[in-house]
Amino acid sequence: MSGRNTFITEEQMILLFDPDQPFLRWCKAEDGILSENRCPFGPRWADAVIMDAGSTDRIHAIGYMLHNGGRDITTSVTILSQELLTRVERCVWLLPEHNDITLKIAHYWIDTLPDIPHILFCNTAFFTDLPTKVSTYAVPYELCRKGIRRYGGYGLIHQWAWKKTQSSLNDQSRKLLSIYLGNHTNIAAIRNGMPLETTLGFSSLEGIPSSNGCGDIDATIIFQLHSAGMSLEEINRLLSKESGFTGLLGKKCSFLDIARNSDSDKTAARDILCYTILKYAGAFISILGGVDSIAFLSTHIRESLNLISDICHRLEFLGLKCNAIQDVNEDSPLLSTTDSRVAVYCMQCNQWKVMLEEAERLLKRGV
Amino acid sequence: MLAIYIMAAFSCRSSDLEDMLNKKSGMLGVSGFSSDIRDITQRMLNDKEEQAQLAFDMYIHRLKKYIGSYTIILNGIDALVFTDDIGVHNCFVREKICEDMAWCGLKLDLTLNRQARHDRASLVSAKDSKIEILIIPSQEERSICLEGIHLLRKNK
Repeated sequence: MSGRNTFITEEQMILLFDPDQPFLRWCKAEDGILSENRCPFGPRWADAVIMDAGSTDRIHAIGYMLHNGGRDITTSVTILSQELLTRVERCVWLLPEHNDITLKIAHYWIDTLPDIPHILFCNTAFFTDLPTKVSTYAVPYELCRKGIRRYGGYGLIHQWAWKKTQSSLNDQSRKLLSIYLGNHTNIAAIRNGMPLETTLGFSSLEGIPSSNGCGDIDATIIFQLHSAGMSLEEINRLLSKESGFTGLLGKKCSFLDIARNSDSDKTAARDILCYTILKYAGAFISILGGVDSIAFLSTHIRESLNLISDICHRLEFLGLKCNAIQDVNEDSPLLSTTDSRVAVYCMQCNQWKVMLEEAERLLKRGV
Repeated sequence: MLAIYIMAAFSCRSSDLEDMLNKKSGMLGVSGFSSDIRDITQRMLNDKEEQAQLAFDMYIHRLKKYIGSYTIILNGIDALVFTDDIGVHNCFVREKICEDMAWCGLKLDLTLNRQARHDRASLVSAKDSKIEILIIPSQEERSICLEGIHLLRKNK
């Protein structure tokens, strides 16, 4: 991020927060320079942040990421008012361990610095426009009314991908498949800027297996485990913290380990990841009625290029043709050839950058 | 995991939830009146019932998703076969599934689809469809019987 668009003066900074239980992650943006930090979310979290920031006097604005805003938060980026804060309170039950942290830190900073702008980012807001047939689970309808439905996630990044392909890359495509590659790989299908599908569900556990989460599984397994004597907490931990690629391999396994594919024991994990991505890609292309562009997004895009190349190879029968991965870099993210029927982009993305861009746009509009 | 959240958030017993997901969900849960696609199609078309429409749309949406998934996994398909009760008897379901599927080369002939008989195999793809679309009535009992005879003959 260059400083040229920034209206914030050199002495001022924007603080951005993202709960990542058991940690609190934050990023300070000063003169367009981002620096990331984290601490355990305990009683002394505020001291750690203030020490990192230097002084609270320099804080110009603060942003908070809410990972699940349910049906209450329908805007991706907004000024956090008292009224909005009460709506955030109503969303805590959806994702207690993360949403509660967002709520607590927002309360703290609004009390401490009431005169600066506070900004709420909501990662599910983009998906509140999902068609009803997509957001509804086939369970008794009274459960849907109680809020049991698909909320999606990673909305800010997918929205950014749509805007980026439309504006900077001058792509006139209408049907976009946005594939985020990372520890929580997930895909969104977007048509004319509107979300049509997401791999994520009520929580981010649904969909493609993550580094620790099981992804799609048969709900019967939960009842089998429960009747075998496991408590609900134990099952929850098993499926969300001890499963996924880490569970499969029996040792810690991140997305980067799989993407780099240095050891042969990761091959099985890589095969499962590729297979699941392809399955969803096919499903979503079918729902879009074809695809104009595919955007691969990752904070580790360079390391992901081999994986991307393997995935694209399996999509060649759609008329997709790719150049050598060596030709791709941050300035020219187009991987597909000029005669390819589908455009393929490999985009370096960083959630903090996206949050900062959005925060600056909102503040510039005037509060 | 959804089931765990439902149990925790609504303090619902595991056995009750299992029962709910097995017996009161699916097409019945969404439509609120029937698990039978025939009832649902009828109430949707005749009575314009909203929940029936939703159940129908969800059903078609899921089927289209799976067809897309397996088309990619198979690296393209040569034929799409509709079979069993719904596949053979419900031309409306077939029509909706094949809508907007030119991306993988599927094109249904709407007239052939409506005229297809229930008692024999028929080809219902359009002349310019790259993939054949077939309706093949299933005869499960006959298949079981033939397999049985085959096994007995082999063991003689």
